[in-house]
Formats: sequence, C-alpha cells, structure tokens
Amino acid sequence: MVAVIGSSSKLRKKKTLKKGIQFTLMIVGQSGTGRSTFINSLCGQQVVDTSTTIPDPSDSSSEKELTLRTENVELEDNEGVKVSLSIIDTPGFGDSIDNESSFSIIIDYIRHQYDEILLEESRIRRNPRFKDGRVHCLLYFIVPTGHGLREIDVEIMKRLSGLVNVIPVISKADSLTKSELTLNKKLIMEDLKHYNIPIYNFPYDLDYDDEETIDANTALRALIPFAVVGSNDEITGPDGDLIRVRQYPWGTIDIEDPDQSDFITLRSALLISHLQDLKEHTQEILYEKYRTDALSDKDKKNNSTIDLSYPDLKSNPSKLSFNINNQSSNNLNLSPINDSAASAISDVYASKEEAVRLEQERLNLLEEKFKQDLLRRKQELLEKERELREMEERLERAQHFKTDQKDLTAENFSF
Amino acid sequence: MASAATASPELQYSELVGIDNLPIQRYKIVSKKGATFTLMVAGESGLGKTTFINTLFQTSLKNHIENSARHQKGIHATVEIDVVRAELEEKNFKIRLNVIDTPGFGDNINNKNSYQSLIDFIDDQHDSYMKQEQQPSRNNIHDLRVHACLYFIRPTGHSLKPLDIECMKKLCTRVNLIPVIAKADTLSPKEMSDFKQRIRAVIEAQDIKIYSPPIDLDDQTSAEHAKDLIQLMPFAIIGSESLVKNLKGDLIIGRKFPWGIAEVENSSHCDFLKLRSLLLRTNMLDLILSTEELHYESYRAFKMEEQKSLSSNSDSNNDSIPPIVPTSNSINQRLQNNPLFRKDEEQLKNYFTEKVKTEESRFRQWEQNIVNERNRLNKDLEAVQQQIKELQDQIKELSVKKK
Repeated sequence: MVAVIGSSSKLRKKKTLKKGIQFTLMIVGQSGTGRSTFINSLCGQQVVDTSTTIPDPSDSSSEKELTLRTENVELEDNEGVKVSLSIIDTPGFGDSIDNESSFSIIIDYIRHQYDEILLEESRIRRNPRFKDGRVHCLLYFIVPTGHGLREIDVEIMKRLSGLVNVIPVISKADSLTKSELTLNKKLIMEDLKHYNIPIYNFPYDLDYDDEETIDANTALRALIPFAVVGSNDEITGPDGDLIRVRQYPWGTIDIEDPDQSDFITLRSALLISHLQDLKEHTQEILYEKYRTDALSDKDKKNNSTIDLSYPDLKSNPSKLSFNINNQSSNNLNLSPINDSAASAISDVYASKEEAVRLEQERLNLLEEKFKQDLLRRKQELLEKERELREMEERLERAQHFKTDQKDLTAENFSF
Repeated sequence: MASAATASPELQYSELVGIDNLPIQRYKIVSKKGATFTLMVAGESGLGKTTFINTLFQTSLKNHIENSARHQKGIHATVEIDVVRAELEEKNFKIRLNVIDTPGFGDNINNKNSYQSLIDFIDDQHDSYMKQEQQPSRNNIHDLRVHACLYFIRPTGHSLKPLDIECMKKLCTRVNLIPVIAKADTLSPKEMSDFKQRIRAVIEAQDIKIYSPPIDLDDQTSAEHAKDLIQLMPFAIIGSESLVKNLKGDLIIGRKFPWGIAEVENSSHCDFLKLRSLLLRTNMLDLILSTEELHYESYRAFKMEEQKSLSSNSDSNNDSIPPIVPTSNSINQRLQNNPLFRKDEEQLKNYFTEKVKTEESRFRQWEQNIVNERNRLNKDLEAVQQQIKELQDQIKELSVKKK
C-alpha cells in the first residue's frame, strides 16, 4: 500500500514540475520605498530598473500618474519546481500633491481580474487556456515615520483588504535601530487594529491544523509588518558565494540575515511555504465573497431616515475644526474653512429641506384624501335628500288620494 | 575731528582719538542685549525634525509627539504651527531661541493646502513687525520673524517630490531656505551623492533660491569655509538624542545598529557639523541680517506699494504714506473673519431652525384644520342621516296607517 502512494506522489510532482505554479504578486508603495530593489532581490536577478520614476529636473507638474507595470519571472527552486511569478509594480503611487485618484486604478485592476474570471466561469464554452490574472498577494510598503500609519496608508489598505491578501511591509528597515523597529511595528499593528483593517495574518485553525503549521503561522504573524531591506549590490561573501548587501561607512548589512531583516522569512513564506495558502485564500474566500456580492446585486443605497435633530457641527473635528493651539501665545492657528466644511453644512441643510418637503407632500396627500371623502359623502347626502323628497311627494300624493277617496265614500254614505 | 588733530602741527597728540573703541563698545552692548533667533523646521512627519532640533542645541528643547494620543485627534486635516521658546546661554551670551514646527505637513492624501499655513505664518510675522514698528511706542516689539527655514527632504534616493518643489518655491522668496536631507543613514555614500546631484539639478531647473552663505573675498579662510558649505548643500543630516559607546569605548552621539554605529559628529557619515556651523557658528548673524534687510524690506516695500495704490484711488495726496489700512492679508482681518464667520453661521443656523419650526407649526395647524373640518362634516352627515331615518320611519308609519 505504501509503495503505491509513494510512486503516485512522484508522478504528481512530475506533473506540477512541467506545469509550474502560477503566482501573481502586486507591490504597492510610494517612490523611493525600495519596491524595485525588493523585486530584484526577491527574484535574485535584475528584473526591474530602479529609479525609473525619477522625473526630469525641469518637470514641475504636481500630478504624477500612477501606472501599473507587470513583469513575468520564472523562478526555480532546488527540487526543480517552477514558479511562474507575475509581479505588478505601481510606480507613481502617492507621489502627487493630491493622491485621491491613485486608489481607483489599483482597485479597479484587481476587481477587473475578478470580473474576468466571473465572466469566464459563466461562459457556455470556456477557454481551457484562460490565464488567471487574479492577484494572490499584495505587499504594501509602509514608510516608517515612528508615528504609526499615515492617512494614505490607512485608506488604501482599508479599501484593498477586502479584495486581496494584504501584507504590510516596513520599507528600508535599515534606517531604523532595533528599538525603533520594535516601536514602529507596535504602532502599525495598533493602528491596523484601530482602523479595523483585515490584513492577511497567516490564519490557522487550532483544531484542524497540525502543530507545525500552527507554530509556523504564529511565528510569521508575530513578525508582521515585515521589516524589509533590499539591495541591488552583490559582493562575494566569506563562503565564496554572492550575497546581496548594503554597504555603509559604519557597517555592512547582509539582507539575507534573518537577524538584520525579515526579507528572507518573507520570501520563503511568499514563494515556498504559503504560496498555496495565499492562492487558496484568494480563490476560496476573497473571490467567493466578491462573486456573492456581484451576483446578488446588493442594493447599497441606504434609506436616509428623516431625522429632524440638528447635528452638533463642532463634534466633527476633521471637517470643521477651529484649531486654536494653546501652546503658542500667538493665536495664529487659523484653520481655513475649506470646501469640505462648506459642503458638510449644505448637506445638513439639504437633508432638512428634504425632510420638510416630504412632510409637506404627506400632508398634501392627506388633504386630497379628505377632500375626496367629503365629496363622496356629499354625493351620498344629495342622493338621500333626493330619495327623501321623492318619498315626501309620494306621501303627499297618497294623502291626496286618500282624502279624495274619503270624500267619495263620504258622498256615497250621504244618500 | 581727525582732520583737526592733523591740521595744527603745534598740538601733538600721543594717543589716538579712540574711535576704534566703537566696535568693542558695540560688542559689550550686543552681548548684554543678547539676540533673538527664530528657526522654522518644515517637512513630513517622521523625518526627525524634533530629534534634529534637540541634537542641534544639545538639549531637550522640544517634546516628541505623543503617540498614544494619535487616535483621539483623528487624521490631521490642517497643518498646525507650533512655537517652542527657549533661552539658551553660552559664556554669558544669551540667545532667545524660537523654534517653529509644522506638524501635519504633507501627511494627508490631498496635500494641496499644506504649505499655506507656513506661508501665512511667515507673512504674518513680517506684517506684525511692520505694524508694531509704526506704533507710537516701539519699545516692546515682539519679533517672531523667521530667520531660517530648514526644509526636510525624505531620503528616497530618487528626486524631489512635487510637494517639495511647490513648497520650496513658495518659501524661498519669503525666508532663508535651507533644504536638508533627513535620516541620512538610509543612503549609502554613492546613493547620497547621486541624490544630492539630482536635487541640485531640480533646484536649479525650478529656479528655487536657497540660502547660500556669502563669500567674503577679503577673508580667505572664511571664503574657503563658505565655498565648502555651498558644495555640500543640501546637507545630509542624522539626529540622535542618545549617547552610544563606540569601539574605543568613548561615548558619542550616534545611532546604534546591529551592523555598526552611525555617528552624528562624523563628517564622513553626515553633514551635521557643517550645518551646525552654518546655523550657529559662522552664519547666524548673516541669517538674521538678511531676514531683516532683505526679506522684511521686500515684504514692507510690497505692502506699502499696495497701500499707496489703494489710497491713491481715493485721495490724490501721494506724498505722505497713509496710515496702514487693514488689507485682506492682515492678521486682524483674518481674526475678525473667524468670529464673524462663526456668528454668521450661528445666525444662519438659528434662522433656518426658526423657519423650519414655523413651517412645521403651519403644517400641524393645517392638519388640525383638515381633521376638524372632516369631523364637522362627518357630524353634519350624521345629523342628516338621522333626519333621513326619522323621515323614513314617518313614511313607514304613514303607509301603515293608510292601510
């Protein structure tokens, strides 16, 4: 029995060897966070040219376009298993003065991949060579400020985490001392929890999974966000093989040293141990959720309740804050009442106007109803009056007839 | 007086008149008076501005932002202006130091108005000084004019961001702008020199006038020093508030990594020493004077021209400079606007509430009327129906009687 299983696994391996495993990785981060260098370090070869987003010195445009750039790399591990890696880079993300539009390009791309699969699934004749372009994992490069996540980080991760496996990464981690790194990781995790951002945290099931898996996943979870150092420079190490390093006047960093950066841990998790898990999570959970939402045509309109209580305009600090900093003696902190504040006020008024208008309509309808009711009853009244008159007339006639008759009979009796 | 001394040959004076004592007297007065120095630090959060200030003056001048409070505030919508005052003394010379921080700059998704607060602040200081100068009594002038602005650049290794370019363009015409590359320990020496080159190219192409120390051709050594400084700009800096032990066992200011120690006061690691020399040791006076003589004067001239043209529209007498008319830029106006605006808002709110209340009461009334009307008519109907019933009964009776 054992022999049969043994040989079948070899056969299975041969088949996967030929086919290769496909994996799509997306890398999102501002310019200068080390995305391209990371990609090159990940693949062990020059895949992307670094510093390609550097603009011309005389270019003074305030808006830098976000473009998606795909690279396909074939990686092979020691046992000959091939991984066909598709890497999507995002040069231009968050580089403009106003970055509101950056998000939609990325989100639309991911959703588009899901839509394609959805469409393909429902075809009568499906294409056997259909290329699955779904993004299996998204690495988000965070700039370590020492003060937690910034607005742009929170916003993009919030929007992406329901669509794709998001793994946050601290970029250029060699600019941080050990204690600063711990602080940044702590602050980022606190912020992720505070803003309810569900990142991919290497989930495990205590009942279902074996101890090894649980231990591995717990260890990985503790490292999030991964502190990454990448490098394009290689030197010959003490063993004689080429190692990627960063060289400073005060020391040299080996990026593959797990004590100095989490790069190697992240790479093995992405490409070896958790590659299948990430794919399965994308397929079975995220894609299914997207499919359900798309097919059930969820009505996202929420009925606004007519609430005639007036909101306290000062309780919304981000929009209408009159910031007076008590530290300085000059009260020069005049926050401008910008467009969003004005629109907030007009929104409130608009909704109140709506409410009043609706009331008016309701009362109009009521009036109409009563009028019609009245009309109906008036008509009934007229009917009844008419009947009455008729009967009165008949009565009179009858009476006349009777008196006539009486006279007649009286006459008869007077003989 | 000097000519009188040499004109008459009979009078032989052994001593000089003593005019050359003036600089020494001046020195005594100045050192007694002390100086005021206002430094602004601008840049995104997390670039080490607070750490740098504390490193520069070797004391905990500024407090770091409280991270535990960051969730209460919510995401910054505005850029604040934070002034820290301190009085430093070294060898009996006092300096009143003002450090202006700009928390919230560049932290949002949309940073269009980030630099507006900075520019307004700088202009307001010039304005305020101008007004105080024109008061009858100008003994107690409160001078917060910014003498130097350090603009912190993120060490991406690429080039300047659009926000940096925009902001520096606006700042350089108003204040002595000194761009610095923050967290210089992120870049290797080659990466740093490429980065500096690119920044210099952008600054030149975009016509941003950064501060450069004047080269005094008479004094060879200081000219050399000035040239040195200019070559290194923008300065790459590392800040640290902690002392670490190096290999020799000495305590030095630096940042300790598992792979080595980046030293703050080591010229091969960063340009901190040069920047300190520029700010404090060699060029502080030049920074102060150029602010007063160059930037303030140009602001003043501009403002007065504006008022002259305003007043020349109303009256023809252009010889005397008219008293300061509050322009749309002045602090007073803006301060007035703020409470006025609030009052207006209150008024509008009340008006709206009133209106809605009256409408509502009208509707209630209307509804009541309709209901009353209906009730009345119903009653009438009832009455008439009653009548009909009675008559019907009567008819019945009569018809029965007839039979």
